[in-house]
Amino acid sequence: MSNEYDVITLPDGSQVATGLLMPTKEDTENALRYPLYGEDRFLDPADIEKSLKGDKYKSFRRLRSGLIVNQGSVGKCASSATIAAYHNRRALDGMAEVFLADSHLYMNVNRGRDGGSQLIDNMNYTMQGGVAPVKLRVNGVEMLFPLTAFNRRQVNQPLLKAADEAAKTFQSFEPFRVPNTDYQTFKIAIASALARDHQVEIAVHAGRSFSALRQGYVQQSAGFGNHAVLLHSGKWVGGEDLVHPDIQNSWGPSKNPLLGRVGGSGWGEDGFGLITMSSLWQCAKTHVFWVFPGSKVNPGSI
Amino acid sequence: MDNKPGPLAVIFLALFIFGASYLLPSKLPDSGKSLNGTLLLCVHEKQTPSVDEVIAIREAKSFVEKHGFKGWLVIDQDDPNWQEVIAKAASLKVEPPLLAAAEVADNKVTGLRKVVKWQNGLEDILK
Repeated sequence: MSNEYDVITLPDGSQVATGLLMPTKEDTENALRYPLYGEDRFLDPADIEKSLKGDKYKSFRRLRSGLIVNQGSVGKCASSATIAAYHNRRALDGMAEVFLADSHLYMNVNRGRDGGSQLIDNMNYTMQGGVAPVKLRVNGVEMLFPLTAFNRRQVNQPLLKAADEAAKTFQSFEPFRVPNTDYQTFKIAIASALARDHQVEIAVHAGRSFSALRQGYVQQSAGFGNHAVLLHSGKWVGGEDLVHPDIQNSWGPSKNPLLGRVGGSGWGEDGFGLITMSSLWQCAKTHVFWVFPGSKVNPGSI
Repeated sequence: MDNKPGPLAVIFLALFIFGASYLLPSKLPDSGKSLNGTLLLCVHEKQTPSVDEVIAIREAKSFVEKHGFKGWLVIDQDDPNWQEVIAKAASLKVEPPLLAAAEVADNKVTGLRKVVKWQNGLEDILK
């Protein structure tokens, strides 16, 4: 296995992977095809405060603590963040709780190697191919999609066929790219998206210091972004920053084997950690960040 | 002048509602279990729900439990699978954002019992 991604040791001794690839010039140009989460979608600070005041993010943490994914030592962070966005949004939208397989998404966007993936490729694939549930029925028998697989050839053909077919009912809407031309616009876009309970997929640079929080906040290392995570909500702080986004990471503690390896204390505060807006800006110039509006309501998906 | 509808208007309305029910999609997703009863549909505009709508959606679970709905479903105006429902609501002179009480039998929408403009909160469907 070629580890192009970094492996981080958590305080509980478990090892977890990153796996976000640096975008090429072509990737960045391709991202421009997507609509911008622009001014017409921005909210007034008063509305952002109304939505996120009173530490609303903490109640979302409680609701979502059972949805924390553990990607383990597979470099599928961008796929794990994407399925977490599905899970959160589907719960809000009243759809049935269906656990999706990050490994199914990952093996369709990593060119067959466990070498990481791009956020844009994950976004593209969810729109076109969708993501398969972990639980599938093959010839009348319930089977589980293997969460540690990263290549389509590692999965038996009937199961893979069932997964590809089921995935079509879990497609996403077209995502929006977060503006990154200047910090002020970026900040309002992120805060507005979180105030709307949209899920936002972003890049951070995770080094040794990222393995534990400091007073509830993540500490990024210097770098351009090696790890994809989900912003699921945010803490209203007002002032210049408006909001400190709350990260829902994919490093455990998972409480359900359908979401990855169970056990250990995992990362952060039960899987979550705050990030300041200025720290979030660090990797936004290199990686396009994405607003994930939700899962389409398709036949078979609720 | 008396503004009450006449018998012809009532017959026309009944035929219209019957027609609306007939034309509704029968594509309610199958979750593997049979869904019967009334579902609250919350249709918001083109991926730009207002903050009030966002806050209402957060409370949807307790609302539907309190008021006897079988569940709720947030639908985007752009969702292609729901264009028929949205068009039907529009024909009843209600444009998104809107709330609808949808009758469901064996995972099929069999009719829209009520369609209202979503203005103040989920309680709008009760008025």
